[in-house]
Amino acid sequence: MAVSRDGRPGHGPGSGHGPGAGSARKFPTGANYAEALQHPELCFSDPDLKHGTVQQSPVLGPKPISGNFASVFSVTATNGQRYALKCFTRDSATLGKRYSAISTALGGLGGPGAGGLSQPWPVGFDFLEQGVLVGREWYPAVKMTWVQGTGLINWIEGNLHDPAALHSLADRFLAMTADLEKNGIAHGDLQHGNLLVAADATFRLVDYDGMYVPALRGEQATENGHRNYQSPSRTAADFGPAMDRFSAWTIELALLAVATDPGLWTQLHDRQGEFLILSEMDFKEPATSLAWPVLLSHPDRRVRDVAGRVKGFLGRPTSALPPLTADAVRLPAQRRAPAPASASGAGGYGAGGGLGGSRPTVTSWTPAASGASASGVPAWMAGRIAASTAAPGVTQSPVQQPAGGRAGLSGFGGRSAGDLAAALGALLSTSVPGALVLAAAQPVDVLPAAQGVALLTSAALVGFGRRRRPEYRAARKRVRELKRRSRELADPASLHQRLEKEIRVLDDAIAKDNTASDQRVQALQLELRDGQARITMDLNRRTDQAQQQLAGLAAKERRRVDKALEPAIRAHIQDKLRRTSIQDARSLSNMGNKMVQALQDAGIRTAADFIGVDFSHNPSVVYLVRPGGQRIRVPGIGEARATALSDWRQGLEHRARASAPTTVPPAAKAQIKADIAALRRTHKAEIKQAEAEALQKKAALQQRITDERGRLTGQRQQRAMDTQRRRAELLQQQKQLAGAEAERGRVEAELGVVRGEARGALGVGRYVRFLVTGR
Amino acid sequence: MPYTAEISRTNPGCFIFLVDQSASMSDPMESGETTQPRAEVVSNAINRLLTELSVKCAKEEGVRDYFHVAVIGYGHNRVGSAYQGTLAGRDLVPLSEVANNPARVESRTKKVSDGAGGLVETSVQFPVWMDPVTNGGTPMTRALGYANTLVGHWVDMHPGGFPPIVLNLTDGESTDGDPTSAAIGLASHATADGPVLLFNLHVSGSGGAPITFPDSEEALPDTYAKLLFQMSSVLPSHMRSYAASQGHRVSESTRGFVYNADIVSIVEFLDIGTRATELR
Repeated sequence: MAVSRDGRPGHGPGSGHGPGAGSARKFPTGANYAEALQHPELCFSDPDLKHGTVQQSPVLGPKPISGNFASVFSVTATNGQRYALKCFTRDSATLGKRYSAISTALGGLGGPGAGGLSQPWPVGFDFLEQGVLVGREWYPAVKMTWVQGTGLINWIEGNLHDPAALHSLADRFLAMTADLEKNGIAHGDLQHGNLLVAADATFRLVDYDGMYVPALRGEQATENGHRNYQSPSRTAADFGPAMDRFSAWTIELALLAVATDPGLWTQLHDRQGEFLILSEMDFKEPATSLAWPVLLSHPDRRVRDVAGRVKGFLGRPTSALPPLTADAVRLPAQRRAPAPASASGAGGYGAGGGLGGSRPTVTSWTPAASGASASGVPAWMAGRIAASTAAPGVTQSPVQQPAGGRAGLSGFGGRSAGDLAAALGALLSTSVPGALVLAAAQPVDVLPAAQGVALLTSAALVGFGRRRRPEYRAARKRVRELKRRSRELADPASLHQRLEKEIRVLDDAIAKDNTASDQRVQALQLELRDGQARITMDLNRRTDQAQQQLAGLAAKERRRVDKALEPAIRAHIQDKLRRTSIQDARSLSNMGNKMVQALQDAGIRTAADFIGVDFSHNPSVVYLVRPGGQRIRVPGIGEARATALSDWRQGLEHRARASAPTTVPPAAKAQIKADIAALRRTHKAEIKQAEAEALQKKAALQQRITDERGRLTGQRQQRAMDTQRRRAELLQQQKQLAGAEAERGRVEAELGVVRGEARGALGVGRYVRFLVTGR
Repeated sequence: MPYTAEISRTNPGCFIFLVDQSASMSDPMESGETTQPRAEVVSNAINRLLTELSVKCAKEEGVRDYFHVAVIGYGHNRVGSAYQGTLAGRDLVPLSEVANNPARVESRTKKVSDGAGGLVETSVQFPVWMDPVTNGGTPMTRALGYANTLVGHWVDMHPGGFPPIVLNLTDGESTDGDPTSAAIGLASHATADGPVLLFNLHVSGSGGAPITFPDSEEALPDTYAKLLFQMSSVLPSHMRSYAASQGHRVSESTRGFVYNADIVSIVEFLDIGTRATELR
């Protein structure tokens, strides 16, 4: 592994502009890098890159692969070596330090093989302090060996119908996480995008930005990993060797589940969804998840068990989760008593270590959807259908167990309305003419003719009734079938072809049915998601108003109190003004006794006897305004005196207001408090009501969707069982073509037997006896 | 908690840019050492942003449709798509289609560091989706109404997704009436993840100091600025913390509004206003 410690020493002219440790600086954007990389000869200092060729996108220049905090470009050096260059779009002062620690730790792991790693998952890299020159500054970059591999989601989709491959990938994944655990390393962001599968089906783990190695103990996480792979309780403080556990379990569960039953992928993975089979909402709101019920009630015990464990992790702190080990995902009966985690790490690269041969035997299931021949049954059908039909290899002669069944050949059973009608009709048609004869004494020659007709009629009725019997029909059908088979056995090649075609039609039909029901299940999931969102929207709309009203209640209460105080304040002011004699106005500089006398003469004896002055129409004509609004002129009061009087009165009022009561009488106050409390209760009740309704609606929606899905699953199981049974029959018939001659003899013999029985046990005589006695 | 929905191909985000194309947008504004018409500065910024979004959403197999993007121009007697080339006339376009269909890719000269202390002139490829257009009045009310229709439909189709973000870039007062009620109507649409976000940017040529992401209208000079402030949504928490990391002073009531924007704050406005919750 080519892991150097700190990249190349900074010697470029731009190094002076480098970031001081700890200071956040604005990093280039992805587009800034893409623009700079249009000129590799200018933007790189690393010789491999400087003279290399940057891979281009069809339209927009250098082709990026972007993540949350970086864009990666592909650069091929002149010697043909291809590199992935990771350019950071977010500053992290500790980037260099972290990469150096990671480099040391990964470098010490040793290569794959005995005692080393289970597979060559680590990817070599160089941390370049002077990675890319953008503008006038150098920015760090990580230069990695380009990994040829397939993203996990694409790989799963390409191998969906190869359970063996999926199972061994699950083993490899487990072995890789064991490697990490054993060395006290955690990746920090285990998710489909960072897991590449190489051509030999071993993993390559990429993106080490968030990686924990023992030397980084005490640091904080710089990212919390992909939301669809993390425990809801994970925080930056969880940076440590256990931080991958939740995601590791989640991924292992997904791999095991789809290896066991590929239908789970179609049902639970959204096309283009950024997750495998479980996503954030399944972790955050497990109660409304559709995925958990499917997994937890899956017929395959191991899927159920592992799903149950993962679901049990949801409420727990990430550091308290157990490591993912081979033993932990075995069925209890297959578990080894003491299972040290390290034991699973020694599987050996390429050997698919871990679970090895201890896997349950359901893996031979190939679904009809794949078009291949079904040589087993899906796990969920185990125990639901008889062993003979579950395993077509078991000898089972169609002659001995015909489609129509042979029960009817033992005779008639249970008279129906039709039988009774036949019996009655037959009875009447034979007896009535007799009765007529006796009653009317008809001429003798009439009698035989009438009796003949009657007998014919009754025979026809009996024959009709017999032919209507299910036993008789089954026997006839069986006879026809045997005849056809006998004919076909004379020409085994065409029979083989017919059977072949029938099997194909059967497979096509079930594949189509399954696809349709998978799509329907997906559509249901979408319907649930959107339906829940709509209910939330509606709830928000309804509660918004009530929330605003609630928020405004404090202000409303203040306004009510102020309003309740107002009369008391007004009375207090009025009282103070009334107690202030107009004589006191003599203290004003421009008011003498004469003026005060004039005011008193005009009826203004206290400060309460006028409310203001008015000289708005004509400054030379001044009015005093009486409390009733009427205006009076007082001789000698001009603009200046009027203004002084008005100010004097306002001053008095102002002082009076300051001494006015500030508390509302207890009764009024209690009333206000009660009113506000009532409003608060009302709004809270509205909100509660809306929330309860929303909850109810959500529950009803979920119930409907769950029921619908249950119905679909039931139908699907029924169809699969029917198909399996029919398929087994057809295969058996095909198999027996080898001995076509002997078979034909047997068929002919059986034909004879069935015909004989049809004549005997189901003959007219028996039917007449049956009509009469019911046996 | 609102504004936390995952943005993915199955749950895409929605950006609607409303670009003022009135006659006054031809007035000059400072751009480095030279001056450029405002409309040119704005369309350069939008073109650059479309490249930025495309890069941000690029994966191994190409650009993913994490977003659908509309660029709507409003000016003389016209409110409608400002895309040119193959996308002309289209409203919301999935990002992969945007990325693959610029109207043209221009070769622009740029001085870059030669790595040895000097500068060297090179040409860089610059994809263009929209060109500057300037003509007539500022029918902002109609433009907001246009966005309202797009947003209403989007919200109906994506009830659980991240709410649409509408970014309005203008240099003048609405000439077709008070846009307040149109803005209120637009912001009344919501997904389960929260109401629609409307951010406003006022471009200026006056050269005064821009007021970026204010949290009250106190410092705003006039009623027009106050009106735009009131029309603008409060920044969701992830944009707020991003704005803070870019050196802006923010509070819980910081709004997506820039007044008297210069060339730098136009870019910042677009950068912060289109900042998504984590993209994977």
